[in-house]
Amino acid sequence: MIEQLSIFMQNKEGHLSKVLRILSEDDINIQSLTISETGEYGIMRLIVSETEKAMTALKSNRVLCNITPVFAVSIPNRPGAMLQFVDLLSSKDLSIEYAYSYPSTNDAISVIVFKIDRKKWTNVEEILQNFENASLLDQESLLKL
Amino acid sequence: MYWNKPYECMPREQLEQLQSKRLVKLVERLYHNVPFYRTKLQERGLDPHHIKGLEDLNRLPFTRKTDLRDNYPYGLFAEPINNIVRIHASSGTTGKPTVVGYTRNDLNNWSEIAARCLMAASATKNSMIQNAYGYGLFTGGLGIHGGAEKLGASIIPVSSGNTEKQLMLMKDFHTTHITCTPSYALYLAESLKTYGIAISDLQLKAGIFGAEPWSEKMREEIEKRLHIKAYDIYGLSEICGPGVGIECVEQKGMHIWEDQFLMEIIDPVTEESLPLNTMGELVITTLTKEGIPLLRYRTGDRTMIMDELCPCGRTHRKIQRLVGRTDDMIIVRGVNVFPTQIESVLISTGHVTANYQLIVKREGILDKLEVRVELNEDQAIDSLEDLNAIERKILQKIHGVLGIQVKLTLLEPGTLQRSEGKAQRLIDLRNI
Repeated sequence: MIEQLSIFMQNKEGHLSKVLRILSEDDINIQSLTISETGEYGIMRLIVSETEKAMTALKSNRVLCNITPVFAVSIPNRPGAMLQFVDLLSSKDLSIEYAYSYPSTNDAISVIVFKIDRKKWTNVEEILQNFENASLLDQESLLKL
Repeated sequence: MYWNKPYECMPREQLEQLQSKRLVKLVERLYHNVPFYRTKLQERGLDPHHIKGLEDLNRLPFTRKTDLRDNYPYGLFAEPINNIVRIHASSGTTGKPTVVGYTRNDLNNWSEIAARCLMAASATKNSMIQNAYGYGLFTGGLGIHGGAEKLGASIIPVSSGNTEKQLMLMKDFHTTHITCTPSYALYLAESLKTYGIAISDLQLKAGIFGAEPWSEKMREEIEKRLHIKAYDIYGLSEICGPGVGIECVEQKGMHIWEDQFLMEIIDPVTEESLPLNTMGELVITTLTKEGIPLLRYRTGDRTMIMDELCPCGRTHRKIQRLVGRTDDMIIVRGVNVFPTQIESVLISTGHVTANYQLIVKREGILDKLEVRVELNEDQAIDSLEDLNAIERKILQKIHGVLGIQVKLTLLEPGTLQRSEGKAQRLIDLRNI
């Protein structure tokens, strides 16, 4: 299980830099970042070097943020590997709410962060245990990549 | 607990006799001392001996806020200026302020009713009252101040603003009662965390909040966050300032001090008197004021006089919590809405705070309302779908309760400007 920060922002000039400044001032490194947005709002999802510390800093600056539990999986870095992984989840009736890739310095693997319905978490671990082409990563190993 | 039991619990019959007597004297005084009223009475073919008591009230002319402005600054004063010991004035955002003058007796009467109010709202001579209403031309600060001194409580005349200092004093001076606007009370509550103060560090028991309309939900929110009882106080500068009325510990309507103020509810359009328990505009005649007494002053406040005996024992009748002033009313596609009604719905959804702003625009011939409100800091939001779900829920509730369609904009916590006095809830861009 990976702790991801989900941050609500108004889609307005200066709001992104406010959040980034808070993190930077507390010496927190951003490992991955995605933003989904509408004209009015944005949701930023971050994986950072120190989640708790980041939460405290953001909260004390009244940034609306939460920790969302997500999974990170390492799969082979080759065509079709992601498809195979997704098909596996689908075949077990698990659907992905969202997913994004996480940077890795190892050319042999790709790292995918994904979120699925909270009620089906336990299934994920079971399913992936017996699947040779994907392995779940914990927070510590993810940050070391 | 009463400050002045003989007056506060005076039998109705006796109270009405007193009102009658005072009304007759008032008309006499106005006729002789204020040319404006003499002309108005003469226009109606009245002179003082026509007015024999309460039964003649509806023969008397109304006074409007514009009358105070038109007679700026001293035109409606009923005493020579050397008998005036203090002057207050409204903020007057447009043009000249409205000016009110107090004689020595006026100040005594004012502090008398303010003391009654404080005591009705649980303060005693042992209380430590932190008065965060503004001191100055605004009546809030000095009005409460006079009442607290009369009561013999300890008063901290901190005035408005400087939130960090407010909280420091609240903690270090063991404040038991705080007086300010409800929106500022909420801001104090949300600032506790910022300055590292816990509720358990405070001795706060109650708050006396007024000077702006607020909803029952807002009360619940303030009470929950500050662990206090929150009482609504009524006043308006034209009449004297805070202290015209107050909620007692029952917290169901505000007692108006009827020995000093004669109240009526009228239909704002036809100007006809309305019966008890009927919503309309509150009209007040000042029975004891010397400096600037007013006949049938149209307050613009919408409320009703409640037809019930209060278990607290006071015989002075109550008005219902104010939904707002007529000036604040918005008409969205024919539906009348007050900001406090929207406030109530917003808070009840549990997703957003009481920090909100309403923006009214005109598009074609229709008024469009945008509701801007800050999300609760502990909202779990991980996706745009989460936001959509919150938006849908709030919009449905606003539509269900108030029957209007609005545009909703969710804001980050802490982004709307906080007010140290009256919060500006309504931004009107209609240019009517």
